[in-house]
Amino acid sequence: MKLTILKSKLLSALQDIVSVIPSKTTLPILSHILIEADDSKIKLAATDLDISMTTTLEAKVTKKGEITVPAKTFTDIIRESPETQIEINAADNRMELKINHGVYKLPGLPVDEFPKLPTVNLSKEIKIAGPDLCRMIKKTIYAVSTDETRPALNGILWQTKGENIQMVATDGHRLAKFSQKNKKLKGLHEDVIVPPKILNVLTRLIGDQEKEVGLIFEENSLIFDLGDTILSTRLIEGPYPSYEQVIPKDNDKKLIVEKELLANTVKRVSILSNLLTHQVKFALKKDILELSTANFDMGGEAKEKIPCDYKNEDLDLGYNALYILDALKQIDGDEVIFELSTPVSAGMVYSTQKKEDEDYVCLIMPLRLVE
Amino acid sequence: MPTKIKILPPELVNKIAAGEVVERPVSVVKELVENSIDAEATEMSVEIKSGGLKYIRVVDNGYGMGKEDVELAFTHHATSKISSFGELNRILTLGFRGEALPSIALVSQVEVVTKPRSFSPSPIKGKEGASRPLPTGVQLKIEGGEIKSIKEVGAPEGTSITVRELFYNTPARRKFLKSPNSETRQIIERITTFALAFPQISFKLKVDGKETLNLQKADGLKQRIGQVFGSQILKQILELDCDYDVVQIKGFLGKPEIAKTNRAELYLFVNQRDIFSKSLYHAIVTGYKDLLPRGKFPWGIVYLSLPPDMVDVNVHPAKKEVRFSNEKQMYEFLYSAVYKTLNTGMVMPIYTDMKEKLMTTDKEGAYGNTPLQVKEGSPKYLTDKDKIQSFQQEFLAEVFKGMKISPLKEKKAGESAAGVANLWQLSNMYILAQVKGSLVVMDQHAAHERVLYEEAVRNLTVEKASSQHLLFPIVTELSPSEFMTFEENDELINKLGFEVKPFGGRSVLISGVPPLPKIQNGEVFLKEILVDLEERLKAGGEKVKSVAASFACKGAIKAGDKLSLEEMNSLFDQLFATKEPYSCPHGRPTLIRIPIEELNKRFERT
Repeated sequence: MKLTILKSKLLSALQDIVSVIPSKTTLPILSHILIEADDSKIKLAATDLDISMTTTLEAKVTKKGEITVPAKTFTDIIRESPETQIEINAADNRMELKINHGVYKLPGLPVDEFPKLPTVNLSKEIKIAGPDLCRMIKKTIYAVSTDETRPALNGILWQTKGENIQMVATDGHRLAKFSQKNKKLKGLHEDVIVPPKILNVLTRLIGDQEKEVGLIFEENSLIFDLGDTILSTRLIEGPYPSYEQVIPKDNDKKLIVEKELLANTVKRVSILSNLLTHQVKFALKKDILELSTANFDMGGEAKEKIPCDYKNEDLDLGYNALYILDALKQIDGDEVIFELSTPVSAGMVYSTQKKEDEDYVCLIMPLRLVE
Repeated sequence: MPTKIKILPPELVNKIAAGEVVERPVSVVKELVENSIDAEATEMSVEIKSGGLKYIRVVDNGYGMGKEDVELAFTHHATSKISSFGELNRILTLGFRGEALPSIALVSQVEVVTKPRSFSPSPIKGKEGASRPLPTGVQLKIEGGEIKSIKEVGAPEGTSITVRELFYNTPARRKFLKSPNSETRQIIERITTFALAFPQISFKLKVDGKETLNLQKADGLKQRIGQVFGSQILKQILELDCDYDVVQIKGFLGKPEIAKTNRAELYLFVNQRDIFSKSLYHAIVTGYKDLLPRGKFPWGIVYLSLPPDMVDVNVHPAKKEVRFSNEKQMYEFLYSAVYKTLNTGMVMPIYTDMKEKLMTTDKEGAYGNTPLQVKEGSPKYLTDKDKIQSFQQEFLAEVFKGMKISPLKEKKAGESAAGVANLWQLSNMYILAQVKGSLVVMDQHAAHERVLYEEAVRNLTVEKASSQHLLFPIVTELSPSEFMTFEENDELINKLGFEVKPFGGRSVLISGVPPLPKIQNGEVFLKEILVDLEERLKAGGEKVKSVAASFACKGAIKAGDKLSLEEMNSLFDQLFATKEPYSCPHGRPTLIRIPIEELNKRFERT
């Protein structure tokens, strides 16, 4: 293998791809990048066995070939290089870099030890706007569970049905559901559970770019086509709990409150809440919401009243402040609606300003109030 | 002068000897059930009252006994199972010493009703061939070892033995028994163990008139496991089946995700006899290698079948311990069977051989195994009360200097650990901090345990804890002993922050869990607490304290949990808010301080 490539071009590709490299691994090959040189292109690939990323960039290739090199060391050398054409030579699992007057040699591992990467079947690809995708991910990913004993909850449930695309995440204490109409999905019918790691990489790669992302649903994997870069992930095995059943249909009490005001007050009051439970009490009276907390360890207490729109009978609820703040952060608009029923059943939170073709709700289970 | 040393009268000798076999109610149940199994029974029902102290009855459909046999059976060392020393080397039956029935009869009031099967040959050695009249039922009553009556009665085939007023004539023994509940629990465990060894036999158990177990004849072990542990478990176990000429190893192993916190659900059988063997347990645990989280034990039911002359079961009267003619070889076989099963069965279907390769290189010690050399002299604990207080103030002042402690503080990008660099986590176990030129080391588990313990005691005695309600309530089946512990303590458990209700049979419905940050699976947490609590109560712990201790022990962050800077801060904060911050509920220290002088000395900087 022999090629030359500009430092900045190679570095930006490497910086993206190292995000896939596992920080700790028992398989040495996974800490390596696979480099394949072919005609006028080189392909870089990395995987942690659950997710993989390949990216293609142009280079002057004079001899085809492939090699693996330790990702971190290789990236460090390129980062510290001056902006210049870098000459890469590789044979017999060794790489030689010529950078101006410097020569660097790196050992690699046999190429055939590198895990097989998924093949991309472009005929099944459908396209979706990148920013839309990022928005859906951001609004649901916070509720994903990290409880390893219930693997299905460790990912976002991603459903496409007719013209509807929907993401759901829950950790059993709260739930976020976002759905959107998308005409391009016509005829697609998929239910998959996607691990959050790939979605974090994906949103970082898309950033603010207004580009389209190709989706390919395979039997046990999901592939994202970003043009020069292909991401793939293993899917989590279901079944996902039947979340539809827990979305309350007849919550008869309605609280409307200014979002920023509520968030700031909850934040302030919860400073004195129990460090384990973060419990804040919501006491609802006619057009008044009283937030309070008490901490027995510290002996601290806090109480604050804020105006709201509430016409139903008085109601006392306990909530984990962190759950309230997480949800408020993702809900758009200036005002939020809480649809409530009893102190032991799920409260539903959403914005007063609903976008057309979009539906976003958060469910939060209350805490039992200390008696 | 009268002699001081006397020869004991034979009744006393017998009573003392009886104590060796009949230690407590569960020993009676064990001996009787073993006899039934040896009598080829296929149906067995056991009933107990008041933990077995008042009443134990075992009814089977085995081959029964004739009149002479019954009388003989209650004489010492009368057994149908062996007849010569030579046979001791090839024991195939569970019982063989001939001690059980007479020993039981010595310390209780026994009633036997039995009738031999009409068609089967007599199992009694030396009586074969004798022409027998059509069998009739016999009833024998015996009290404190003395036969009170014996007569012919009508009876179904099989044997029914009723043991009343156990230890009525040995009050000292009675005193040393645990509560009836605790005895009951042991009996349930024992029957469960038998049920696992003999899936082809149906078992029923009634406790104080209530049916506790009803296990139909099972079509193999797998079905029996489903009956005992609930069918959910069948998806989480792997079949073990290895044949090594001299020993066949069969059974089922739990996947790592159902690992337990103690050995209670690791059953080991040798030729269908349940045994205890440290070395074989070790072989199984080692077979799991790093698949098990630290401090966890595998779930498993493992059967070894080997020729009877390779194993000596006559080591201890309770026959719980056995000796193998080649212990080391057994260890190797069992280890390799477990390892093979786990690594072909599931865990990492693709990269097995890679993993194996890595393990062997690891063993050769890339990091070397030289232990850190530390001189004699242990760190000094703070003992003086005033010193403790002033230290505490200094500590808080220093550690939290310039820090804003807020549970809701969001991490800003680029914000480094500046200002709080004096907290550092070592090996995900200890938190190190600098206080006035001293190095302070906190044990994160012990510290958190103390925090949770005091919180739990308060919740149990003063107020009810907060509970996080669940979107998806969980229905889960508890084991018989877990369920019993739950029933006895359900009010306290709900006060801890659970919302648990019985849900028919041994199932419970969990609709709320204590809102602890590291606890996400309420089902596992509840079961861990119940298992731990059972041990504590068995050891005679006081109720509220035991519940709080179990909660603290199982809910606390573990050694090995990585903590963020915020979490470490918060832990220090919470620890010093407790009444006794310097020791965990078991009395281990939570903090130690190493003064700079000590370090100077060790670096020979005098």
